[in-house]
Amino acid sequence: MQLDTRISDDDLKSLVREEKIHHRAYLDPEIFELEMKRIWGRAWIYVGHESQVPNPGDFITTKIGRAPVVMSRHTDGKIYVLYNRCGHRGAQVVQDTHGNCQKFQCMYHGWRFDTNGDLRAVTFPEGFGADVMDRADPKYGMVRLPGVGVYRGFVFARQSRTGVSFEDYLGEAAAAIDEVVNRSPMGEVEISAGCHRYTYEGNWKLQADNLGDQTHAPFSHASSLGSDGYQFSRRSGSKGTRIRILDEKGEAAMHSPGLWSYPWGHASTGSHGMDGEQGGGAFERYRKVMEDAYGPEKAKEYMTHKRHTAFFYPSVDFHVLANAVRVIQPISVDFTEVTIWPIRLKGAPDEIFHDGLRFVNLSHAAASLGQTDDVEAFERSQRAFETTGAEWVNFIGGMGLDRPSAERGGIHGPPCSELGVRGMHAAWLSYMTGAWEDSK
Amino acid sequence: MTSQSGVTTVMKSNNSLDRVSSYIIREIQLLDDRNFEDWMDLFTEEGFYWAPVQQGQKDPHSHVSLFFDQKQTMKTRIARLRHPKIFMQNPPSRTVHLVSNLCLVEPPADHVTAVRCNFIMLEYRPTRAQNVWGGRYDYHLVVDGEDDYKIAMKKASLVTSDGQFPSLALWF
Repeated sequence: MQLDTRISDDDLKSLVREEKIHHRAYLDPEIFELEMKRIWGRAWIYVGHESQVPNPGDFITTKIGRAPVVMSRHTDGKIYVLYNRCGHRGAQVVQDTHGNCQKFQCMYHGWRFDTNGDLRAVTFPEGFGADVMDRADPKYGMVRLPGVGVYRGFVFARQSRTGVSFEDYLGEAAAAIDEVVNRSPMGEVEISAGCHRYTYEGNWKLQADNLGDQTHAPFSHASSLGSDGYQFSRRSGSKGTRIRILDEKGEAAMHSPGLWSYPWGHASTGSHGMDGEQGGGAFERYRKVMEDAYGPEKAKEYMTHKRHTAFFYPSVDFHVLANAVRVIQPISVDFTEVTIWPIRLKGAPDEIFHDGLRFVNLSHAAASLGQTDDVEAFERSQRAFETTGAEWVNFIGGMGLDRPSAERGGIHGPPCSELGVRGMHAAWLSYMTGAWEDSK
Repeated sequence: MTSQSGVTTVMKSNNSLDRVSSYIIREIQLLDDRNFEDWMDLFTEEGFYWAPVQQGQKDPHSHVSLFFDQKQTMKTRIARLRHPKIFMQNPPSRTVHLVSNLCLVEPPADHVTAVRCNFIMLEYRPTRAQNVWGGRYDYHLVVDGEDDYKIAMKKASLVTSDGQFPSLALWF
């Protein structure tokens, strides 16, 4: 890992215009190293959901940028996010993806840590007495990340001590998380069905960019459409389950209220037009429990999709239609892993969850009928970005049509807009040059 | 009899094992020949193809799966594989499936013939690296007519099931 850089802020500024970004941002390993430090090292990054660690001693492991981390629930009932690193000689302590334990123990020299990261015991204590080290010093423990934020059970953490507060980071875009969670009659969700794990040979920003536009769907996803221009079923019920992408004449028919861009690079796409109002089958029993919980009016409001996706830059997308969380994990400048975690709406009929799982398999598995089209586009982009002589990548769709949105906050653009991507690249420059510090 | 691995092997005539073996070879050759429609027809109306994500996954309803295809989904997937704009299969993958270590195991019901075997699948999409997939197949076969079978379940449990995957288009 390179900690120092010869890339100046002026160099970085020269790579981003309002409507385009230079291919070097996707190709240069040195820029990738800077992103790990300045974006993934500064921003609030998604870690997991509280339901993955319901009991004291429960933990999951993941990564924030390059850093392996553990999210645990300690005996005090609180959630902790720790560097998965021994305070002695620096080895990774926790190997399992998830589990439960009373203490974390490093396999190298046997140091033991409480599930809040505190150093509890060392091997050969006579060699590590108070004369050589203060065992209460957090640096000898598993170090806690400086910031942890939880919103409706979804846990984020950041490696920086300074910067925007978690509340301001989410801002008005947080309404998308409410939209997901409010669809539970108990107002609670859980993540308990594992994850899909797909990779592509391309830069992490390609997945992000894809979440900031809707214009690709009629073409990229053409092979997923029936002859009537509707896609395969995406949600429970006997009607109102399929997205309409082409009209009777086979022309693009994107019935969407458009998309929104928010501070810090967040983007949200509006719900697509469906083949009618959702109803029938298990959905009717779901409607009943929702009406019992919230009353008919509120239930209808909560059950009506407003958003297709909501991306919280740079790491996590709440896929509102698929009812899943999508997490971006950069591996190298040209290799990315993405995980998809289905969400269970607590209190909803089991069929709603089973159907949801089936649809997520179809839309977002490595063997899916939808996401694989996007992956193909990412890989073709990464390969062609190597071109010198034609070096700019354009996001000009809907330029000049952006308007402040009274309805959902942020800036709104019509369905043809690439506004969401423009917002991400503005945030990229802001994090990368340190302008984020000034606006905190 | 019970083997060392704990698998109960049902003693049947070699003839039965031969018949099952021929059937499975025919089944995987249909995949390699990209004859997806005839492959789908091997399944019963309620039959399904399942590739779990979790090792030892109990069912397809409580955890994500790489594939969980009942007939309707197979039809949708085949329509996509035949679509001129399936960009992620341009050019299409070439595959070779191999099976080995085939044995009959205790069936879940009397009318079912349960088969366990190992498989390897080579997949090459020109311009990409070759993929090697492998694991275990479990089949539930039911008799169809005089001397043929239909597939009530084909489960492909990959040794890499919970790992990372590039885009997949074809059944293991």
